[in-house]
Amino acid sequence: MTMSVAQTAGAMGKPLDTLQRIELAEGVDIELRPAGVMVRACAFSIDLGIFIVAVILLSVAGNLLAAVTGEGFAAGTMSIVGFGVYWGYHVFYEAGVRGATPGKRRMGLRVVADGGGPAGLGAVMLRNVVRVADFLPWCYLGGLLSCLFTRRFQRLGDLVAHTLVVYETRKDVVVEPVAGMPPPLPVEPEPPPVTLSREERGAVVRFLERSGMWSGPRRREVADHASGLTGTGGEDGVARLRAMGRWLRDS
Amino acid sequence: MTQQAFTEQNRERWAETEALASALEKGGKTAEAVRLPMLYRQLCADSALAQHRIYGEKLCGELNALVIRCRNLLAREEGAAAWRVATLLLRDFPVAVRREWRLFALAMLLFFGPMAGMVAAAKYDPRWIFAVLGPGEMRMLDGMYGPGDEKEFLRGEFGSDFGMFGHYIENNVSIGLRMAGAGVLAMVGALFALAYQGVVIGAMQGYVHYAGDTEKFYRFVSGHAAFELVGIVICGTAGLRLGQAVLKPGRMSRGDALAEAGRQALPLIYGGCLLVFFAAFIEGFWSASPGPTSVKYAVGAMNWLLLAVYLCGCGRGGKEGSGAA
Repeated sequence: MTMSVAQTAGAMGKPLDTLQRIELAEGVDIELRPAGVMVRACAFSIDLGIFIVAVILLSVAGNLLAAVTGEGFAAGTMSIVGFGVYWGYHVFYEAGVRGATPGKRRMGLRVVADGGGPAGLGAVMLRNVVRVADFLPWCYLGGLLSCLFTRRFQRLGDLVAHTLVVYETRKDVVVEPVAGMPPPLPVEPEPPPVTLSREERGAVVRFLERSGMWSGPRRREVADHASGLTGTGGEDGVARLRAMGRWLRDS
Repeated sequence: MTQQAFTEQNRERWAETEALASALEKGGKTAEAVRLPMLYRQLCADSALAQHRIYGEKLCGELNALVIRCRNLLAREEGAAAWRVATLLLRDFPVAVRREWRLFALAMLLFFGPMAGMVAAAKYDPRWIFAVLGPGEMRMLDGMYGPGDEKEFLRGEFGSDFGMFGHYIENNVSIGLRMAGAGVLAMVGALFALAYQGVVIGAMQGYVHYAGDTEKFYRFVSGHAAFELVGIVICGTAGLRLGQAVLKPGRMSRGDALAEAGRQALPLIYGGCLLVFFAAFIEGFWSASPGPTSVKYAVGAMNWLLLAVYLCGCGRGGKEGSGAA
């Protein structure tokens, strides 16, 4: 039979989404979800805020220190500390256990090597040294263009260091169904009329899980692609496809 | 087996794995940590099974995230920092400089060429120097190296050796790091920065030849010149290496070439910055100290020699590796 669900979801092995699938030696695939420009810009803004506060606090501390130890020593200390904060902030946090600056962490992001493992000090160092080039000509325009033109949203520093910025799946940053979408009606499980392949079963179950996040017309549009299986279209098609999904998932 | 049964069956073990991972991520050292490899293997098997049976996205996603977390915990590099620094200094850095000797020579030329030109300009056409330096800089140089009254270089401004030391670190190492990073733009950033630094430093030197007391000047700079200038040039070399991957990726894709260039440039960045850092030490605590000029010159010459021997000879015979990467 003509099965269009699987073709839509992943014909020719070419994924429609940005997931990066990596096979581990442990015999399992992991999936990385690279983060786009917007969320990374937000993370950077948070880091910038923290950085500015740190600079203000440091200059106050520097003045206090100058009063105690004299100008020269305080100026030297402040230069070294300022240098350390300026170049070390990102390196320190990204090379740490969490692999994320406070800003990235807040946005649920993490820096990883492109194999999915921790990035390591050398790679983190590289990606932050090349930050200079990403900033050029103005306000991270270089990095923005690089992100837009690479498949895994890598800025120049990421390309040089072989790193990715990915979403870290955590309990407190789960993507919820969009509020205001009418939930699809509950359905009774119903077996599909023909034997489905593994991928096809997967596509039907995913439809069941995701359809709650879409608007009604979008649901119908996607379900219409599977009209060969459901034998009907529109809202009936959605219901039948969801029924098959429940049967496949729960029994 | 249905997804629900599968989940019921393994839920407790996943929760245990999750709790252990959280504890280890917080940096706690628990005796339970020895169980992580076993739990991780079982988790991998579960995740593979869930993916194969195409259980729902939520379950697969959670298992996926947990696999990644456990793997990161197991793969974390720890300790041996001293070993990695030693490998870098005794092998990887000098080996990298020799491997990139062509780019290093180009960087040296770009930096010292304009510098020599500006010094020559002092004799033949000082207008070149005036075109680079502003009146403020010339006045400052007059104050520092002008004939006549002995002022303690920049010391009046910052007040102490330590103050200057900090200032040199911040200023010079930052220049080196920026040079290395900006080089990735098809070398342009590093080419420009190297030549620019050469012109500015050469103009200052030339101005002292033209209007100042050269002995005062060379007494001060001779001690740290070798490490500081060559350190900067090596940072520039790292930038050129990155840019080379964009201009001339060879038989690799540009992405692969960039990553390879990153690996090879890393010891240059580390090493160059360490040289500049070391030079800041000398500049802060030795260069301005009183002492006979001959001693200062001798130490300066020694440093050039030491650096040359180090870069040419160190790390030969061993196998090249990536101990510091």
